[in-house]
Amino acid sequence: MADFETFVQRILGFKRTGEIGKQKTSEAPTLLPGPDDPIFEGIPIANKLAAFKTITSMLAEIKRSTAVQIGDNLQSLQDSEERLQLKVSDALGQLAVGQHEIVAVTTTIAERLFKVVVTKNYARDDKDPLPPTPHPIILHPLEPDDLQGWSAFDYMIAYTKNSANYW
Amino acid sequence: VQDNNQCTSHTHTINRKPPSLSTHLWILSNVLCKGGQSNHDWTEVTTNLTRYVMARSFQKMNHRFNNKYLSLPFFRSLLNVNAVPIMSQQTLEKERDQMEVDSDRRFLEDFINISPLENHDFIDVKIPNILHLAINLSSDDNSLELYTNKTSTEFHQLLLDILVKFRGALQKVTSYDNANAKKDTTGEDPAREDTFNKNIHNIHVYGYALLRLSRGHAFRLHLENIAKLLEDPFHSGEEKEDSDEEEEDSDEEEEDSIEDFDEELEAIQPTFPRTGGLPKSYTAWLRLMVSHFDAIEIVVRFLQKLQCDTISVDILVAPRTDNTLLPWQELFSGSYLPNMDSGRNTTGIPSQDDIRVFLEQGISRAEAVNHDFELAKMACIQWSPAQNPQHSQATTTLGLFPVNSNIRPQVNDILAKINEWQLIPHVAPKREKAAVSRIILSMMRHLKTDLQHQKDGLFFFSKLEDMKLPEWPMGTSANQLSFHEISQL
Repeated sequence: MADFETFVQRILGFKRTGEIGKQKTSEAPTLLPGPDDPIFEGIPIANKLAAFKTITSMLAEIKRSTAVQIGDNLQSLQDSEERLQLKVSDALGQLAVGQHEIVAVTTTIAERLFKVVVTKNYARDDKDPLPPTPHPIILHPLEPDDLQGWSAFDYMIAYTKNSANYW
Repeated sequence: VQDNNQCTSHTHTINRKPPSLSTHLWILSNVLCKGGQSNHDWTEVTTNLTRYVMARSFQKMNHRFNNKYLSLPFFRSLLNVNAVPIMSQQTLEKERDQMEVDSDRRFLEDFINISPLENHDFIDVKIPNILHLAINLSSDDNSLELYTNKTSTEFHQLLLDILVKFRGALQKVTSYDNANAKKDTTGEDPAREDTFNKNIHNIHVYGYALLRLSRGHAFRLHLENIAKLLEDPFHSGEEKEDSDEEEEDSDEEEEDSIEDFDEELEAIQPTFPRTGGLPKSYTAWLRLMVSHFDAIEIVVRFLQKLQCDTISVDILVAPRTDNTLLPWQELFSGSYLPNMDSGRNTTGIPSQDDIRVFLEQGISRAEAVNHDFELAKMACIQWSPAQNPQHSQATTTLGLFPVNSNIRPQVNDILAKINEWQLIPHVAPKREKAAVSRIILSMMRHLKTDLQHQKDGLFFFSKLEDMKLPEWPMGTSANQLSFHEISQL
């Protein structure tokens, strides 16, 4: 049997940067199928989600079980725009997470539009509605109910100030 | 870094609950998009956005800083450096990165010069040489040398002072928060607001200073200079830290166990580079502590340059499902993943069959080692106390080790020694038999330790069979880069 760490490195060595459909993503393993890949045909969505959870659970266990050597996954990413995109997606991911959320962020730029897609998974202190169907849904950030005509900037400041009263 | 007193003018009453991710993203996208175009300049936007992010994430930051295994060893090791050595010629000649020098300059401009130094609890150390540099700073001077043999001791004391105060502010606001959580929090409380805002302000000020230092040339030189005095956080002092921490932070200990926070922090561990020496690990640690500040700076700088009209945010929400996992055997059965190499082995990537066989073999080995370990444990119990061993039971237990086990030679040696022990005549002095008996016990314990090591090495496989969906307790950005990678960007 091959050494466990060597084996893990062999698998983890092949990751990062690729394209799903035509949309570039910050961290799409090139070796995984896209959403329309025929390989997924006929598999119920619940099974796909269960498969995804198995993958993430196994990755979490690998991290706990062995010190994964950090390689430079960006070496092959010479395109400075892609590097910047990756950096900004990572930064937005950091900012999106407050305490317990689990997110993945991808970004694209088209003309003067900066498009962000946040993939959100269930977290135990979730406050947002979950899809009523077994399928994923796309939501758009909603204006707060209590905005009362305020600008987002002033609302943010009020929230910061007010946070003393609920945190 | 600006004072946030302007907040007091906002008397708007809003819902008494933290923003959901949806509301949070609405705030972020609107503030970031319109921030540069409205009557608020980017400095004002950055300042208020930072305060807002601090108010939203201070618990996570506090927990990250105070992790006793992965963070506090770095902090304490720095605290334990009492005397800063004279820089070696090699350190003095380190190449200067202009971006790092710029970060040092901004540290002096934005923190030292603007900080209200007359307020004695803001910086508690005397830094005359650094102050001199800050006062005489010229904006177009690219030759700034913040870290020299003249300033190195001041720099170290200042660094520690900022770290201690940053940690203190995080702890204060978190403990205040915890205390409040147990009370009825209906109704506004000006004292609570003052305390909260003061600590958020301090987290902002000290966190920003640490960001500048972590990106600067001076900090890098300092770490090189004191490298020999630093402890390797992954190889020393863990037990000591452990016991210290238990006494010091018993409340946190309780909270940690309740919240089961370890998983995310375990996940952070491998992101520290293990190569490149201790200075790199320490830099990675500090950058992680202030990653929120870094993230704000990256996003704001990017959007300033982009001048975008619109930020569009979509949230892809997965349905809530139960915790059922797909059995891993099925995952690699060919239906869920592309068979990357189909056994041709031309790319070096394991095929799904390779992976499945590898995992099956690993599980079998883990089961065998766990079984052997239990036998060794049993034998140790049966041979202890060594003066009066249950030798026949121990012999039977040792006989249960599989013949083809890789530790069978060790087992045979122990059995031979037991045989030798049995052949010692009754008339021989008691201590002669006792001495051999102790050797046997020691051999058994060796065997048990060896098996424990093997067991540790196969931990992944042991967990694989009963793997449950982890409750990820703290927020995770799935595409969070390692700090090694961030430094390459």
